[in-house]
Amino acid sequence: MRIKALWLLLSLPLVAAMPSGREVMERVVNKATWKDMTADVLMRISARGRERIRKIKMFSRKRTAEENDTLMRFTYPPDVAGTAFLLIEHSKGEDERYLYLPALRRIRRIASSGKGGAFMGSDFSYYDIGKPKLGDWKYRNLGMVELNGRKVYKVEALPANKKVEKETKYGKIIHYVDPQKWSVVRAEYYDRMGKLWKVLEVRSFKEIKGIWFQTDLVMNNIQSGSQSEMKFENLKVDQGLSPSLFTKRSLRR
Amino acid sequence: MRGTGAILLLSILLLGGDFTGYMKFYAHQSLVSPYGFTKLGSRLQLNLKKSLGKIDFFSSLDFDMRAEEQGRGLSLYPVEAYITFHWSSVDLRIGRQFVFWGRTDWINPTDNITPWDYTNITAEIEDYRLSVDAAKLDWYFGNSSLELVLVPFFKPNITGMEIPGAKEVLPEQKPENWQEGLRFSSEFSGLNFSLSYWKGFDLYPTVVPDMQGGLTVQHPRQQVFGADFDYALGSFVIKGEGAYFLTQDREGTDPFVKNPYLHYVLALEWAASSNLTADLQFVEKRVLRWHQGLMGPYEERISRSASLVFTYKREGYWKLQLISVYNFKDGDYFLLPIFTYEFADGVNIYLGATLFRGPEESPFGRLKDSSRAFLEVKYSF
Repeated sequence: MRIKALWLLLSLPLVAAMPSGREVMERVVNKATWKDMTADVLMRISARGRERIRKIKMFSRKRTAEENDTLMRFTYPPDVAGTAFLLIEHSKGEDERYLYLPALRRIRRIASSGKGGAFMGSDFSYYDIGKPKLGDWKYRNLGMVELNGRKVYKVEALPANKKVEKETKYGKIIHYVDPQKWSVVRAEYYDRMGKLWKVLEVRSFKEIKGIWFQTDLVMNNIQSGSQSEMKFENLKVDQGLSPSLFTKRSLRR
Repeated sequence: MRGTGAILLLSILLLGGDFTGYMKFYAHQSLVSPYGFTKLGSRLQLNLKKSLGKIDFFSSLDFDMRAEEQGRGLSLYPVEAYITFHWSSVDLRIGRQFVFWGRTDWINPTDNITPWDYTNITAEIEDYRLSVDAAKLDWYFGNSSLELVLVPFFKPNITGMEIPGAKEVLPEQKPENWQEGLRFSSEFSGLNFSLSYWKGFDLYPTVVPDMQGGLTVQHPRQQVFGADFDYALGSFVIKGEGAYFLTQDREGTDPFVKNPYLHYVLALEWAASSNLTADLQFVEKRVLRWHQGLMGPYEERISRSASLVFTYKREGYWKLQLISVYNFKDGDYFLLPIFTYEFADGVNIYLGATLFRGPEESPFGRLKDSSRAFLEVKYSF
């Protein structure tokens, strides 16, 4: 009896040290303290025996704690070079999305096709590349597991409501979080039927100003057999980007 | 034109800028007997862009080698050639350029600057819109902007309709005939809107009897007061665009001059998924100052149309687009289905058709001889 009490006493700090799933994801989501960011993004999409390359120059800034502005300029392939996409997020109300197609010489306002839509025809969805809203998911820490020789947190995320499930098209996500970097190193995405759909592997990271950035992400679509890789190069933060960059005027330049 | 050439030459002399362009093979076959090739050939387009701090040079030059019977040979055409000056809140662009106003698709009542070539509607806008020599100034302040446009030389639509014995008379090239306008754009609580004014000539031709008992094709003066907006709501974008056309026949008593009229479009665009979008539009034109018996033979007091633009794409693989316009009164219609296959990065194959159908004297029925099927292979570099 005394031994059992002692064991309980010794194990208490260990239990207390294990953060909840929500706490782990809070560390992941809220670690980004950069004000603005630029990067050259290379997207490699492999499907149906063909590989397609897309290159983008990306600019992003935090307008407020919860609102980002993002400008993407496509630089490759040549037939889409010059195309530019501007996203202005609003915490209240609709986000603004504008697309400049040089072939049409016109800026078009475009509707949101849902967070579950494919980003540039890749295996990444708009949700995958955006910042998740913590309130959209119910998290559960499934404990520490070993992944590629490192101890990582395994966190289960279930949609908080039907709307999130419908929008993201995910029935469940399993995140593997490196507690050294507070970054997701692997994620498994399940469809609404509970079948494994996609697996994200983060191949490399880069530390800038104490923040670990994912710089090489590979998404494997288990169901279709396709694969998309997103690589970030020339990553720079806090360059003091002008707010005028994130306007319709700059889409044309 | 000389100014355009000078800009072009200057741009080319500034080698070291970015060279881009495309090589395209095209075959357009008439869908009307005797079904000959209306266009057959290849085109090299060279684009040169050079930025020198606050000044950008851009020129886009087409080398067109045509092989069909009519129009065989090599031609050189500057699609665009302009200089843009950028200041902190002002951009000034001078030279040959495309100037588009409005927000709706394909039918834009406020867009009366850049003419159309209705005989050459294919997959690419630069084939069926004709750039103009213009000066355009954009002034940005807050979340608003003011655009001023000046077009010294009038360029009409190409309709492909021939009226035997009629002679086309274009406005003389003199300062009194310069066309000009302004457009104020702003945003309020997620609603983007513009107000515009354009003073120029009707891009569409009007046939009038002349003093010698013949016919002339004219482009009367008009003023256009326009407004347009867009608003996003979830997976929908609501758009609208309308204009009041103040013509020379303000009282509606001259049967050979268009009466003042209202022309507006209401549109609902739906992004069903990242692959599928549909844009449905309702269009109405209302002729004002209507006097029975004093109206042109083809004028209707109220004419209504609907248009649908449907796009399904597998990004990076293929895209299917259908553009359609249907006029309720005569039942005439325009269809433009285009299938685009991305053969490799930068290599696209376009297969499509431009179809005009309807009764002989209906708006689209009159254009039926311009119906064609087309195949284009394009390599961009």
